[in-house]
Amino acid sequence: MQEATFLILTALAAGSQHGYGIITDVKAISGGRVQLKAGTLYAALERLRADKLIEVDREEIVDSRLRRYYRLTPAGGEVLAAEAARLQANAHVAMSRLKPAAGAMT
Amino acid sequence: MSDSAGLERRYRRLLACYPRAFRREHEQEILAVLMAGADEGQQRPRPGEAANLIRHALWMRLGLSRGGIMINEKTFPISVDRPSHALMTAFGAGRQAPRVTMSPSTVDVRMGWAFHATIPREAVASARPMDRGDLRGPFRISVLRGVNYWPRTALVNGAGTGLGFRPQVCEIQR
Repeated sequence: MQEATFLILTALAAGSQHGYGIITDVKAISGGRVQLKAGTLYAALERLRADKLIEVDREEIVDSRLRRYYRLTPAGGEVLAAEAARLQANAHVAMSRLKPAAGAMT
Repeated sequence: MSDSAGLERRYRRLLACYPRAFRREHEQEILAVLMAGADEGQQRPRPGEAANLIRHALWMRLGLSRGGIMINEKTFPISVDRPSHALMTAFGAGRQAPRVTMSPSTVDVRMGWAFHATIPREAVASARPMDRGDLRGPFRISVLRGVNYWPRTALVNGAGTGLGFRPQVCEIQR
């Protein structure tokens, strides 16, 4: 799973959000490192919708502009949980292997 | 106010690169995102933003972007390998005739007068290029052309070799 996809799903994990909400949330989650562009975001949303990992939650008109809110589907939640577990396991191994090396250096 | 109207017009012009079906579904939404992300007094799309939109629009038009929206009707010719050619011609599916037409609602496979199948797109859960190992039992025979069904799966197949359109295995939803 690409990092952008992972972050988009993570942004939606806590509740539904609209396009710009996802962009600002992804930026916050990644500590300002990942700034999604509109083209990238909507290509990803379209793909995630086709894979039924997300769905449209509701639509609102704010300042005469359409806001479409997206939410995770149960399948999307499962995929995100599996990916998060995989990343966590990898990170855990990396950290545990780095510890003795770091200790030896000091 | 006139500044933001100019910016919006320029963004709209960029979004015109996207296929119509995608625009119908997402233009207003993307425009809202672009305008929300614009700086105070910004008059032109940022170059990176513009390049990103054009790139994704192009991918979508070329059908390289995997997504729920099928842009236009698109027809792929199915090439026929040499051993099958005589057989195919006999069934009225000569060199030109075999083809797959993808439209927003259906996958339509036509091979001359002998064979025609229409699969509703909502029935297709996934599609991927076929491996030889996907074929079971009688489906291993390479002369099976057109659309073959076995439980929950359809094989959209042109030829065993020399394909213009690689055989696609579609998982069908119940």
